[in-house]
Amino acid sequence: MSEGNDELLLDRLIHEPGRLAILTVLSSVQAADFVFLQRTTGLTKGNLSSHLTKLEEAGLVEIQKRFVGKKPNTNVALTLVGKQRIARHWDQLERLKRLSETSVQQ
Amino acid sequence: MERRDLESAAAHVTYLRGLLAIPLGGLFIITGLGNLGWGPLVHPWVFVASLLVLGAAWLGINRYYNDHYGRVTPSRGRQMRYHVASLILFAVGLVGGSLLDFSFDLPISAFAAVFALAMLAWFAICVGLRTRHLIILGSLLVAGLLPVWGSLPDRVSVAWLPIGVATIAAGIFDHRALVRAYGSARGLNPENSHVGG
Repeated sequence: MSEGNDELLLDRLIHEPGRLAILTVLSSVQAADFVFLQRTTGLTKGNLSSHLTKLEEAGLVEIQKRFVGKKPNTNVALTLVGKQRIARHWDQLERLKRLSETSVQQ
Repeated sequence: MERRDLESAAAHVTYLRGLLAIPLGGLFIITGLGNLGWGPLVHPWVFVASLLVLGAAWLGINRYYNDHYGRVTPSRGRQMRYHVASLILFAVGLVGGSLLDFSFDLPISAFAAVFALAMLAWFAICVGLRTRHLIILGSLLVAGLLPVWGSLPDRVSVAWLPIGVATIAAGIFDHRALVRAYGSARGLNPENSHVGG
């Protein structure tokens, strides 16, 4: 495959809809907790927990477990690598969209 | 999945915690009633006790939002914009509007009108102006500009009352928008909502 096409190869870890939603939400804030992510992405607790674990293992998010009052609270933020990867991913999607629109017109 | 919808929702949700406007609007109303010497509010301790009740209500409502809709730290740029807009526009509404009323013998309430414009600008900058804000704060603006305020002995204190009502109304509609977008508080069990739990 040519170098140009390699640039359009999507990152499968990020492209999964649940993880893409989590990373997109986190890209517009400094940090958010588990409940907030559940509300904004609409994922179930189990799915969100599983996706966050994968994203943390890949070094895309930082997870901080803490107690707020007497309640456990999980706070999540994008790492620098996570910020770069989600920005690049959306850029790729935009380019693919433009490419498909150009192909249809031709 | 719409990128902009997700980003915008995450960025704005903090400012849709509309029930927090109830104690704030309550503060505006008791300020007006206190200045007018209404009922028990002529006693300073009643005013202070009311402030404490409103403060406790604010904390309780904030906790409700944190537990049921989650905590989020907005980006630094957005936080800065929020703080600067709040500081400048509240000062403009409070000082600018009341100074106009104190300085000129107008038949209108410049305080209510300027406060309405300041709140419209605040919503436009921090939350995004919606039809509900235009209707509620537009009504406040029109009420302030009606030439019926001239006979009132203390226009600024009276103006606090519709300002308080408008603040509460805008807050209730913002809360309804939050519930429509993210579901009711009962729709999510926040207990032990954390990774691995």
